[in-house]
Amino acid sequence: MFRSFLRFVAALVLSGTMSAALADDTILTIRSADGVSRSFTMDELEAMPKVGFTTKTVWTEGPHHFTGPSLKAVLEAAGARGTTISARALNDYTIQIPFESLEDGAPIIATRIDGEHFPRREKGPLWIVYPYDSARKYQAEIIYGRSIWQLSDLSVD
Amino acid sequence: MVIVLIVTAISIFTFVQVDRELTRSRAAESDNRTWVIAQIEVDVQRLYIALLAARGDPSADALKSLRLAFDILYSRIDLVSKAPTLEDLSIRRTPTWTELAGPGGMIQAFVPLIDSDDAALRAALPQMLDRISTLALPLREIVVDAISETMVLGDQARNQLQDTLFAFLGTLVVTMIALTLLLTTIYRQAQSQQRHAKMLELAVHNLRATIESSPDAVFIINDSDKVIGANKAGEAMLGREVGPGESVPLSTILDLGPNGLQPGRRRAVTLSRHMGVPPIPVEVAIAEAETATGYSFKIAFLRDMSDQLRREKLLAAATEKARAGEETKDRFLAVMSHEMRTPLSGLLSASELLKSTTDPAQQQQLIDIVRACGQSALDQVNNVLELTRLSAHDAADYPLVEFSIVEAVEQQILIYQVLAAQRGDTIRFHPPADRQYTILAPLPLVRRVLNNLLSNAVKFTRNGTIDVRLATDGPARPGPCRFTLSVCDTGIGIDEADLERVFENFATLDSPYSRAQEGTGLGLGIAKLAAEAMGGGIKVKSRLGEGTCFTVTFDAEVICRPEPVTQPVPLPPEQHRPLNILLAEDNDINRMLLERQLTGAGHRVTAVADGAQALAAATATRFDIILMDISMPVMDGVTATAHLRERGLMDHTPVIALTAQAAPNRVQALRDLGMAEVVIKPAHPLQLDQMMRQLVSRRDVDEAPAEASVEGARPLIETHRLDELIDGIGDEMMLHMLTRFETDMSGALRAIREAWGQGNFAGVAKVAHKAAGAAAVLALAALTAELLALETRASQGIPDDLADCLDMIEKMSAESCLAVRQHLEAT
Repeated sequence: MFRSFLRFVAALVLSGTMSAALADDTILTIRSADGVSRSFTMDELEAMPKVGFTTKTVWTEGPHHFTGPSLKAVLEAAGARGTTISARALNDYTIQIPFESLEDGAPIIATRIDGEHFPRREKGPLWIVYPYDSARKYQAEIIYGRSIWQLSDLSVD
Repeated sequence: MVIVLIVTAISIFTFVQVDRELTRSRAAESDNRTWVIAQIEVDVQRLYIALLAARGDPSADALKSLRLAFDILYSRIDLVSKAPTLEDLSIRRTPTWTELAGPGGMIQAFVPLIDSDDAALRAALPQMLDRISTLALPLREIVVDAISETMVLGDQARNQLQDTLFAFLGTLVVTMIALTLLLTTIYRQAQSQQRHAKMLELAVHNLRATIESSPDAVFIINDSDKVIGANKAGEAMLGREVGPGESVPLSTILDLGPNGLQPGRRRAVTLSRHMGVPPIPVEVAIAEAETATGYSFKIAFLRDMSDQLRREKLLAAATEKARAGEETKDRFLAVMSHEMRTPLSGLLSASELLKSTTDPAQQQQLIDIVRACGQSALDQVNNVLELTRLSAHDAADYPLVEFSIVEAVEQQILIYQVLAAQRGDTIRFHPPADRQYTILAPLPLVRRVLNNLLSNAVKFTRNGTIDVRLATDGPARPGPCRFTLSVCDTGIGIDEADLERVFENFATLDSPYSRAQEGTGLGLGIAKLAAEAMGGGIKVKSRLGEGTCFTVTFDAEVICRPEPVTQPVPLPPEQHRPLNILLAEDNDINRMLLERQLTGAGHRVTAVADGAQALAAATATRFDIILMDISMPVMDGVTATAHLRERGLMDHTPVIALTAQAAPNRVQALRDLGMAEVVIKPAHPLQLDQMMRQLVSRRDVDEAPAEASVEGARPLIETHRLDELIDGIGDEMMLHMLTRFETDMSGALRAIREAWGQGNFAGVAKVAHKAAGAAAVLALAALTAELLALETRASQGIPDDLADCLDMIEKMSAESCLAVRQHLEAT
């Protein structure tokens, strides 16, 4: 029991350290239609205006508060404009998001859950999250499909 | 209703189920369980590959990729462990899972290794590879199981959804059916209600129509005894409209007394109507009723009884009349049987006696009796028949005839002259100033009245006078005129008490003298009816022992009143002037009797038995008169007459019809044929004689206008007639008669002078009358006229210039005789 607790703490610390170590590293690369790529660090992402909402998800237990910049704002900051966004996760899972479906408040690229960063092992560091509870339209299959975690790349065409 | 609620509840429940199912299916679908589970194996394989890569390549990058692969797997396992949607999958409860993700499992074991430094990690690679490869196959198994489980669950869920949907559809259908049923029920109920309402409406309409069409009045009376409604008949009966706003208090129209009227009983009362309209008798019945709302009211049914009452009255009157008629009939039979038998028995006994009597004087007496009885019996029969006819018909049945009223009266008087003379009575006639009144009136009725009055007067007067007066109401002009005819006698009179009964039929007055007189007592009754039939009446004034005066008034239309003629039409003389008569009568006895009568009166008679013979005779010879019986064999009187007319033989020869049928319209029909006169059989010989003479003299007058002198005075002698006379009797006889006349004339003049000296004006008139008759026989026209004029004036009082008049007459007489002698010598 104690050993698992220790392990848990260790994991936590480590993940925290790791994420701290990675804070200055690129965690997101955005390639725009013209072929130009830009990379963002965690700090850079967190420097952008934050959007936050509390919602339940089909992957978590109970409601959680997600905060982060809106995908739309990030793309704008990256100067990426087009029709389709291809979002790729660390495990090479890719999903298409139509550019015009982006709203100011949804989706967001969540950087913190309940105010804390979340490691890779907990679907971190970046997770495209919609405010599922706020509207029925976000409870669609297709939205769940776009809710890509372990986000690593965004490619706009 | 309950069913609907139940069904609705089920529907809602099912709907909720469906919703939940759908949500669930979405949820189940949305977490993409199959993908997630499959990814477990993929991620494990990736870790394995990463481990292999790291063992072969000890670079830092390889370790980085290894760590990444591990984190990816970790997060996957983490997700699977925690995801609530994977709750129902058994994968997490498998030993393999525990081996993978449970405490002490592979992931747990790898965590510290991954999190250590690169060197430690590198060292641990082989054991890690070992561990992961042992897990590979079992993992695959549980993954596959989980996937098939997912599929099964998915199918189950889908089936459930399908079932639920079907259930929902089912309940929906049931609900629909229920609704349809409900609608149908509602519709049917509505229909039946509509039908019901229509039936009710129809019933009400019919009821209203019944009440409205009822000929009896129906009144609705509210509890304040006011009539607030009435049907059409009721309003008509009241003569006003009635309504809730125009109510009529019952007491103002019906007087039902203090107790009112019990329901169910009828009472006859009088219905008072509005001003000016007379009340009517009604029968009323009252019923009590209650409306559906408990409001009580009364209904009154009224029936107009006016008709019924009137009918009852008529019936009563008719019954009374019939009863009276029965009474009259009984009386009639009682009296008639006596009155008929008396003369007939007298007649029979007289005839019996005649057989055994040889004494001529006695024989004559008996014969007289036979005649008298026969006549009496005939009179009774005539009277009765007349009465029957008068009672049964009204005046319209008697055709109007143009005749001279004065002449008619004179004729009737003449008939009774003989009888009057026998009883020592004198009949005097006082005509109106203007003698010529030609009127349009029912002649038989006038004759009947005169006859009956004269008969009575003569019957009840002995050695007295009977004055017949005729007067008119106005000056001379054509148009309706009222005549007053009075017959006044100086007979035995009638008691004042009996005066009223005098006109009753069959009332013979019980007085000492009445026994000696016979009569069915019908005479005056008939006279009364006849007078009334002519639009007039009859009145009587009498004093016992002094006399009786009957006054008859009647209206008749005056046709024209010619200028008062200075020379009156001469009355036929009493002496016989022989006529040439053709008699057609089929009955042998009647023919023989009539022939004998006529021959006895001095006429020349040719008798035939049928119309054909009559026609033949008339064609061969010219007659003065034809007496034509109507009903004859071979050719009847009507046909014969028609033939005569065709041949123009009636122009100079008047035809007198003899008929037994006395109906007035029959008589008129015969007159229309051209008959100069109609005589009802048996013909009264004297009447017939007068009639014939009158017709012949009229014809003579018509045919001899040239004989009239220039000044309008009559000629001394009427040559034509004188010639006829001479032809008839011969010259010798003529001279003899002339000599006789001259003697008689001087005697008459003497008598007149004597009577005048005695103041006996009646005597003057009498003698003058006789003389006139004698002069007329010898066709001494002017003399006749003068003598008649004298008679008239004498009957009204002695004329002042009587002496001069007599002288004039004497002179005229001589002149006339001379003229005749001259005429005789001339021819």
